[in-house]
Amino acid sequence: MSIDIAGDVLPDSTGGQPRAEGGIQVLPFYIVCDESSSMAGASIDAVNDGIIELFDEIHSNPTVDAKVRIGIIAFNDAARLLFPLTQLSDVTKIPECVASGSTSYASAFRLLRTQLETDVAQLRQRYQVHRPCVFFMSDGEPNPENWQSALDNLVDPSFPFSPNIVSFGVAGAQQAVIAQVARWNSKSGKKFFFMADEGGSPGAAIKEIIRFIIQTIVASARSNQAAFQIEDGKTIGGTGPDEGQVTTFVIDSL
Amino acid sequence: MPRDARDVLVSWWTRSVRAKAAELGIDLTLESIEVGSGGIRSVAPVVGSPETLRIGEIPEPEKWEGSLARGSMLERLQPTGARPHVDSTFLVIIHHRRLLDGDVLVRDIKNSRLTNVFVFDCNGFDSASCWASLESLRRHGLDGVVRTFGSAEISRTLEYFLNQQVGSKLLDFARVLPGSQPAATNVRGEKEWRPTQPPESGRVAGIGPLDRPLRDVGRSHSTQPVAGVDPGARPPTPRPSAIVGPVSPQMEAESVRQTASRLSTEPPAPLNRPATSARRRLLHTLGEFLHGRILRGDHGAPDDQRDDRTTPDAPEAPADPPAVPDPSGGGQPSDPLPTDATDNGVTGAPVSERAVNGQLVVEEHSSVNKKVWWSPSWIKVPMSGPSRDAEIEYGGVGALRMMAGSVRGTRHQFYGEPNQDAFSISRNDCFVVVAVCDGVGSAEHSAYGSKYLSNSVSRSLASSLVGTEPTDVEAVKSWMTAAVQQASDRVQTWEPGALYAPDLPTSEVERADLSATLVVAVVAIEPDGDGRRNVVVANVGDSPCYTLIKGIWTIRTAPTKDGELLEHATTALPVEVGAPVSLDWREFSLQPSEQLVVMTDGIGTSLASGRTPVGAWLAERLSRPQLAQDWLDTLTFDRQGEDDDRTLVVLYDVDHAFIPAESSDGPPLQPVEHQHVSEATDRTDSEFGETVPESPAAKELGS
Repeated sequence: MSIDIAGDVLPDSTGGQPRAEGGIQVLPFYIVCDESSSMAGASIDAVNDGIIELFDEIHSNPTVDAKVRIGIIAFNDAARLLFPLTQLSDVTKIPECVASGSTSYASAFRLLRTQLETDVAQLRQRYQVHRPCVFFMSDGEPNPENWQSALDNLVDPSFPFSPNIVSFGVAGAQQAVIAQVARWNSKSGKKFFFMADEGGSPGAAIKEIIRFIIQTIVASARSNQAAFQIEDGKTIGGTGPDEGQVTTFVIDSL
Repeated sequence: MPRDARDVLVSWWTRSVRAKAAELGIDLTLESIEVGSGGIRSVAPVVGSPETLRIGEIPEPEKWEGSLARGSMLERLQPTGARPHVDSTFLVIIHHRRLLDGDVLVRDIKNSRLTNVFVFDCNGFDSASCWASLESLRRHGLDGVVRTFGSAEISRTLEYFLNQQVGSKLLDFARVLPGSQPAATNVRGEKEWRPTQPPESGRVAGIGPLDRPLRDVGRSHSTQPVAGVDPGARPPTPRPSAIVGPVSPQMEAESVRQTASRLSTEPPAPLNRPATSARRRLLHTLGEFLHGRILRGDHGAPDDQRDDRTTPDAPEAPADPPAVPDPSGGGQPSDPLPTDATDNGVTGAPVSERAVNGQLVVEEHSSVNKKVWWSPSWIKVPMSGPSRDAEIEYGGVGALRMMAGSVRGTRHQFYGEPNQDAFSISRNDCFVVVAVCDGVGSAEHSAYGSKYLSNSVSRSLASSLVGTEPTDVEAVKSWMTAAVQQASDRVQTWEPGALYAPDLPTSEVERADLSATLVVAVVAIEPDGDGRRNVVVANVGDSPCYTLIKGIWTIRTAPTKDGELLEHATTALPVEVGAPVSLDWREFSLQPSEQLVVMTDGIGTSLASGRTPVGAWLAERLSRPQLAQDWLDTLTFDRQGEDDDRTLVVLYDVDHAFIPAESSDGPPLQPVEHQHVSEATDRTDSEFGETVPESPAAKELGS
């Protein structure tokens, strides 16, 4: 099945400044990435290489650069903003993730909500902004904290900029948790998450995930519509020694 | 910095440049500067401080890898410091993977006012901003040669770059400076290095690639003598070596204007040395580009600069535009800007900046225009068939004048796909028929669909409408329906490879792959007794039709409801063969001073209600007759995020559409026209509703 990853445009009624009439459409994406200690080694390298790859791709494609705004949040004990929703050609220094600490989903969701409030409101002064899409990636179980309420707060229907979330789990991430994080505000009522196949290298899986994210962003900007084809249970990535397999899950939201 | 690049640099300096300099009796200093923190790491040997030229030792390569805070590059380059001097040659070698901030680099170089700056990028990393910034440096007269190479090629290409580009330039530059003749005993053949007496052979003896005719160095693209100056005696000027194409006075004025505006916050520091004639010549060029101090005509050049310009040995700049090539080809402005408020301080019509590739910028230039269009992997030719990057038509019939054009959007240019928009204008003795189509982006052969449909509809209508009365709206509509129906059916049959048609047989192409929207307008050529013209518009899909009167836009086709523009599923042609086409109708009468504007959503989306930046800009552009270049400028305006194909057809009564300038402050010319204007203005408030067809004019038309 095909998903409109670009999502809907935030209507005028979503509060804040009304969107600029005649403004161009921008597609906001947030990448929220685990940088806990379990990510050390190949995983965090794959993330950092992936970020450079993302920059290279966007820099070499002006039509994507013009239309997408990307923000990156990394989290371990606490969440930190690598950069807010930005046109990547404006970023002067590519940020780096460093693996350490624990895995606080709650802090990531809280920071994400705060950032979306300011970032999207700001974008809406000049552009027609699509609903934000978040790529959430984790390799472990969340800290024992009430991260669910932080997530609920983030995707609360009363929050005008509540994002779509596509989640990715590698290594020690639990499928049930990753599935719980996924959200999609579509009429189809479906939501989407991806789990790395067991036994594979997490680094290779992350590489495939980031490649998939980049493809998604590029395709979204290119067409403003269905950006990737997803089939339930289908894998992304290859089967070579350096490639990871990541399985797609499509579930009906409750 | 990669080891192999270091080795090349050291070898070049010691074996090539320094040896050559010693042989020529020129002292050169090389200094290394490490720049930046994290984001930028560059090695920047500074060569040739003219006042204390001396041979220096190259530092250990390892010492280049220090870490200075960002900004120190700026400090080191400030001409107010002891060194480096403005005449220094500066070599920046970018080698760090994470360098993205070309703008910082460029800002520093600009602020330094160095004129001989060479940039070599070991990574071949051509980030959009970096590339564009370096290009802008080059365009504004800095003498740097921008090269980017893949990392596999570093050794070979860096060596080539240093020898061919930097070395000879460096020696040549240093030796014409008066400062290069110190009283020190190590200078041989002092006379030989006077600027007016270059070596008789005109050559530097010695080392391989440096062995080039000196007079050619620094202006290798130009062999034109400068008026009043013996070419043989003229010192090589630090003209941009990478520039191609003649520079018009307007271009130069524009360059100066931009430079002046850029530097306006920081006035150029006075040079604290007496200018000899050689230096003056040299600085003439530097100043012209760098400091914007050489201004044309009576544009307010300060007295001292006028004096400078009239100095006998200074080139007569305006009389003899140097054959300096233009790096941006057609990109540089070739016509003066509409109004230059900076000239006299009077704020007039909005001044549009030109983008790197020459388009007029609305609001903010697009990411595509961060690079010159011929950059690698940028604008691409489609795999097959015409790209139709720009098509324009114009002409008149009776009092009607029309301008039409379609340009390929930057998205299609980048992906190497053809323009999927199309338009066609036909006429008979009574009617003008305008058909505009927008190929659906996801449909593989929509470029053919739109071309065929627009062409077929307009031509068949012009033929079938012969004999129909303009007031007989029902007859007009039925002919329009028939024409669209016929086009919809016929577009689905073609000979493979026919003009614009797919190379595949009909059976292998889905109907949906031909999809295009259509808007067709039939306009009576002769006005009625009130000077109005009947217009019937039929729509399939979202290509809009507007009218424009005195800067006020009225949308005449389907209303643009909130969010509707973002509906991706648009109705389109062709329909199944035999199935009836479904058209949306609008009829109205066009006021004498009203312009009919038919377009695709490539413009319509940003024009929206017309009360938008693009609406204001376009209204201003259409407030006067346009032709050719002017019209192309209108179509190709550059705005961040706009990357769709654009088609625009404008139709107006030449006797009424434009209010003469002298009466623009007074009341409208004719009472009758005033009345029409009021009517149109009133209508504007309800322009998005269904009230438009019920306007008195429409009722009249309907009856």
